[in-house]
Order: sequence, then C-alpha cells, then structure tokens
Amino acid sequence: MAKKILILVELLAIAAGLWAIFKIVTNTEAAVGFVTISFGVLAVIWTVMAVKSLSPGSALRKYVTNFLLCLVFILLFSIWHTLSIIFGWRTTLKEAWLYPGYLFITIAFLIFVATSYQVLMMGREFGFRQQAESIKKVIEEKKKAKKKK
Amino acid sequence: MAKAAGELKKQLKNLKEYIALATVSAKNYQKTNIEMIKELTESENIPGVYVTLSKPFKTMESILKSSGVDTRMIIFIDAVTQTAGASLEKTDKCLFIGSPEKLSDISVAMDQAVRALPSAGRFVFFDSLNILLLYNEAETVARFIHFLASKMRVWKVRGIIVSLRKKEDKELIDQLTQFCDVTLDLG
Repeated sequence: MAKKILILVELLAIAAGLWAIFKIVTNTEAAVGFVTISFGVLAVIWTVMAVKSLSPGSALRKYVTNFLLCLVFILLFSIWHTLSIIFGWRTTLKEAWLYPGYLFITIAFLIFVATSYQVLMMGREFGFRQQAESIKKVIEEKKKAKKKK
Repeated sequence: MAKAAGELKKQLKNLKEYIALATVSAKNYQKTNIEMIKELTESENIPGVYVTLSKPFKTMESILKSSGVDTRMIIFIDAVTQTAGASLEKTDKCLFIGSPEKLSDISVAMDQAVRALPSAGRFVFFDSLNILLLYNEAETVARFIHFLASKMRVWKVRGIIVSLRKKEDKELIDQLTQFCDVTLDLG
C-alpha cells in the first residue's frame, strides 16, 4: 500500500513538473525541449549509478558505458536543439550553428550501432539455449535407458 | 555411500530446492566436490550449472569425467581461465568469464544458464567462495553471496556454495550461514 502511494506521489510530482514547464515556457517547442532534457538528465544519472555498481572490466559494464555515451550525445543534441529554438538560431545566425546538433545525433547513432553489435555478441556469449537443448536430449536418453532396464 | 553424498542426502532429503553452504577441508576438497556432483547428476538425474573459480574448465571436466560424472548434464562457467584481454569466450560446453573479479558477468552468466535449463529440477554448484575472497573484498563477496542466495530462491534450484574450511574466512562463513538453508560440514 505504501509503495502504491509512493508511486502515486511520484507520478503527481512528474505531472506537476511538466505542468510547471509548460506554464513557464510559453513556446511549446522549447517546453518540449526542456522536458526531454529533464528526462535525459535523469536517464544519465541512473546509468552512471549503474556503471558505478557493475564490476570493472565486465561485459555488462562495457555495454552500459556505451549506452551512457549514447544517452550523453542524445542529451547534447536535445540541449543544442532547445538552445537553437530559444535563441532563434535558425533565423538569426548562420545555418552552420545548427550543424553541431546534427553531429551529436550522428555520433549517438554510430555508438548505438556499436552498442547493438555488442548486445548481439553478449546474446551469443550469455545465451545457453543450445547447451540446454543438448542437456534435455541427454535427460531423455537417460530416462529411456532407465525404462528399458 | 560416499560421505559427502550421504551427508547431502541426509540433510536435504525431501527438499526440491535449497541453498547449502558446504565447508570442506583442503584434503578432501576435490573428492567431496566430485561426490556431490555425482549425487546430483547421477542419483537425482538433474542438470545444472557448475561455476568454477578453483580449477580451469578443462581440468575440472577431465576430473569429473574420469570419476564417472556425465558432464553432458552440466553447463560450465569458468572464471579462472585467463582469456585474451580478460574478455568473454564461449565454447560448446563452457563460458569463460576471464577473471574472478568480474562478478557482474558471473551473475549474468549464471542467470542465463540456469533459466535455460529445464525447470523440473536443476542445481547450481558454486566452487568456491574462498577463491572469490582472493580477488574481491570480503564485503563485496558477502553482498555477492547474498545476491546469489536470493537469486537461487527465485531460480528454485538446489544450490550448493562450496568453501574451503579456513580460519581466516570463518567470520564471513558465519555471516553467510544466515542466507543459506543449511550448512554442511563435509570433513
């Protein structure tokens, strides 16, 4: 019961935060930018905590570190994008000012590709389905042999 | 019947799932481990996961084979064999973790291996606690074993954590006894 109340309070806090952002920032695009940045910062904090708790050198830690890099670059893209909206870079500055944002998102996707490959490898290494199938066959063989006896 | 297998049967009879902390003397270490594995794979005919930190997989496999254990019933996780760059390596029978310090990888590997096995009956044999202590801090090991014990309850396995009986590790073993259902003193 206490846990449910806690979840409810947390949801209400998030809703209040969102309402405050949209109330303070009148530009909807900028408000959405602030919301994505807040969630991005939270995701980065949680991921940093995860990296710290995992064993040094472990495959899982390497994967989470790569995931953290992806998050950081996506966050940088969101920050750049929001800044460009707030300061009107699209209209007031040269187009070149928008390029770092594209660079951030491109890097994020490149790291995503590397991370996905890492996940594929981890799936192969940590996957034991094949061994389990062989074990099932051995158990069946033994059962049959026992019955024959 | 051999002493270790007899003790295992006596103390844990009628239990389909348990967590046992087995303390063994250095003299009887290998013999006792083999007897316990034999009891699980031959008498009870259940598959399981063998996590080795004491001997490399190849040595362990040949010892078990020569003792008449059907190693086809076991998935091995080897955290002692040094791999290139201490990275993960996989063969048909074993996953090499690369280092006993990589507790996160050992946990993930164990979770995946146990869940892949048929749920009708399975065991987890962790060999051994004191090797873990050589590479990790006592507090980290205690937390890991607590985590392992709670995981074993979720997996519904017959879990055996082996430890060499040493004076230096007595405090930790006493502390870990509370997480386990039974402590086996196997001579």
